[in-house]
Amino acid sequence: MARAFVTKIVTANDLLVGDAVYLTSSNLWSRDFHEAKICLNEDEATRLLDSTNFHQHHIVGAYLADVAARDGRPVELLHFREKFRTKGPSNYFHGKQEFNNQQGVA
Amino acid sequence: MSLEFTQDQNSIIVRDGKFCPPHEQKPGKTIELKSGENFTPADFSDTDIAVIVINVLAFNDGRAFSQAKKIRTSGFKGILRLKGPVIADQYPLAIRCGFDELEISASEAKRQPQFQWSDALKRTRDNYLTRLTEMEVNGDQSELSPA
Amino acid sequence: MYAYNEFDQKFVRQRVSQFREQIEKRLNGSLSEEEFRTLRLMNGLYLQLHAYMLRIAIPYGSLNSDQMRKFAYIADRWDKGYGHFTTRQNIQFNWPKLENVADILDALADVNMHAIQTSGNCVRNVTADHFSGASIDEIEDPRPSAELLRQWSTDHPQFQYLPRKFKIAITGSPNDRAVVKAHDIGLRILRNQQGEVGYQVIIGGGLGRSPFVGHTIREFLPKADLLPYIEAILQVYNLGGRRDNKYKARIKILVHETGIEEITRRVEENFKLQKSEFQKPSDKLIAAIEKRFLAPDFEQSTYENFEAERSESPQFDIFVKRNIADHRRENYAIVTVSLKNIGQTPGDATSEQMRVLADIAQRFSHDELRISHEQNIILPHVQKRHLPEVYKLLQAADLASANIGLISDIIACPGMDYCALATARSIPVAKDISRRFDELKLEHEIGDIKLKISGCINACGHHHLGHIGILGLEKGGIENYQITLGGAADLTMAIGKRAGRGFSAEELLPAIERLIGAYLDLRTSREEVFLSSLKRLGHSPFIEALYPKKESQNVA
Ligand code: SF4
Repeated sequence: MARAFVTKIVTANDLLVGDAVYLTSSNLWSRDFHEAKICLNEDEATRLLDSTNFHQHHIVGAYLADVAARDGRPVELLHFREKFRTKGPSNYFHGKQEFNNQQGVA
Repeated sequence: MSLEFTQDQNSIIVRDGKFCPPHEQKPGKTIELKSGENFTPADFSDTDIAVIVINVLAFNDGRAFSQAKKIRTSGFKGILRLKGPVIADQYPLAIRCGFDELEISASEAKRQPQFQWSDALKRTRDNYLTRLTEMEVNGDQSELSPA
Repeated sequence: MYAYNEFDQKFVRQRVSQFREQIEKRLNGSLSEEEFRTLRLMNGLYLQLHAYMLRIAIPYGSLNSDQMRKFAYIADRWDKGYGHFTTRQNIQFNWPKLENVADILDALADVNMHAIQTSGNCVRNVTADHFSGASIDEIEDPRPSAELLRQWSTDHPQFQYLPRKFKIAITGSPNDRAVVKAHDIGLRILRNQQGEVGYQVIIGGGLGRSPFVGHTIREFLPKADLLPYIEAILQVYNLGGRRDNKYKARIKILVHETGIEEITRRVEENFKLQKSEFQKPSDKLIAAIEKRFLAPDFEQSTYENFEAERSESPQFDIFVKRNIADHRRENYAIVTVSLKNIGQTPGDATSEQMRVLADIAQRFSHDELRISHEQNIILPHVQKRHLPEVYKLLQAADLASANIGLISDIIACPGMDYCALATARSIPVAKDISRRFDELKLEHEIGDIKLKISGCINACGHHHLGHIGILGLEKGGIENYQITLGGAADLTMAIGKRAGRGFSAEELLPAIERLIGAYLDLRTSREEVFLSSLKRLGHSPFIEALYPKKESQNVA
């Protein structure tokens, strides 16, 4: 039996700054994974990932990441590595967590 | 640009920093080598090889550089050509290892226009290795010269 | 210190402008990401989890105060006010932006520094004994040889696209402080029976997925033959190393699969050809480089105040016992400054600390600093009479931890807090361990021990060589830590053995506590250090402590 498909989003690193970015449904890259477009099946995921071939002047190394979604929006990245990428390192308060806090986002 | 002078329909020769027509067919054989293929005849003066082409499939397959150097060390005086998806930044390395010219595809040439190759070529001269291996470096009063 | 000549200056500047162009070419589409990646790595630029990371070479771990101040400047201007010193005597900045990197490299060129070949499949920054030029047991300062190798390897036309990275280390002392047997090439300076100085050449050592202790390929290589011999090894490797599998591409695998006899034959045969290519004998080149190493003008001095301070201040006395090593001059000392404060990230220094260290080096250490592969900073030439004052200055900058060689003097790689390749974090593990044993006030009781942590099998944290090694992995979607026992990094280099199943992050600290508890119970006296107990008793009592009976019954 085929393994159940886990909802996915497309993530990459920004070419200029280097931080984690996520592909949105308007085909733009957001620094906030909550804004990412979710893929509900394998085909959709492959197609969305392939579409990033045209984004090479903005991003580096696109790949798929597993998420939990609610109401068509991603609510949580599943792998601990991906969770770290949405925050920053644990030894200093640097990276995305600095800005999340400024915006009052948890 | 016109491609009619290139060797393969779709390829371009880079020589002296320019996109060039191929050499006139010289008397003698052309040998094609794969990347990493061992080819070091005991004595090149005995052969009628005019051109040796080393084919690489990926730009980061660095074996061709050592192959070329070995072939030159063994005394080959003919034309040595590197063929494959080389990038302009590698051009000085290729020259310093003993290649005379490169053969790249038309699409590579389009992506990396001629000025990139002529600029890169300027970086061939200034390097550490020549200073460490050769006795005289253009009259440079380098303190590296043996006392 | 080695001073750049006009050629070095010009070369490094050219390289910066070349990299500036390469960034341009990536942005305008002339270079693909794959191509640019290769080129940026050769210039020390990684793309990590949260940002780019720039790794700057500190050749053979030596630097002067201006260079250290420049790091502080870079940290403040383009990064987040700190830098991370690595196990390969480099410094890493974790937050540069692509658009600033060429400016950073230009700033480095102002002080004779660069980031060339600190990554990529080429010959990396040559590392050396961090006590070079100062230690009492040295046969010869290895840095001129290392500098020659730096020049030779820099932009070497054949060896920029090797099958995999290539690391060279050199030591000038019988006491190996450069882990030469864990490198692609390790060099040990020694004297032959005629009293001539040369090198023992070791190849094929390495850690990572398949750890190997290096093999001696030449017992004695005359100094004059250094470059042609190293060139011969590299050419054999470039042509013969595997390119089909990244994990089998290092020279250690070529040596392992081909056999050291056959590799020796190929190298020696190739060496004969290379000798005619290298018209300048290497010993002459090294002699010329030696002239550009400005040796310090050592002074005569007495140091009654030093002895007096020792008997007055127990704190200072402990610092002296742990952090000071013998200098070749009787009135001097080598000071190791710990970057392992309790609960802090191993190897990190703030820009302020860098400036303090630069000032101290300028005033009290003949303007010299060293970086050790154990991620600490060395003041190599401090007069004993100045030690009390130096200690006070270090204290004021929070740099006076007297823990060199103790359990909190942990080597740890950046792990999954920064590194894109990591399978687990290593920094929090290091912080927890040092905090815990500090709370227990057991650090000095435990004494000499080497604890090393890597965040993945690449082993940048040298976990295989730790008396206790910790390897962070992923298991079932959470971080999992494997413990190895009995590694050693000196000339008796040994690769640690896996103790058993891994521990979750929560289980790890109690497990380490049980392990150390067992050692304290089992040792014959304080003189028997952890590694000696392990050797005397074998691993089983320690494994029992890690995996207590009750638990194994549950599992069964
Ligand atoms: S050991 Fe692994 S996690 Fe640690 S720095 Fe090296 S590659 Fe990264």
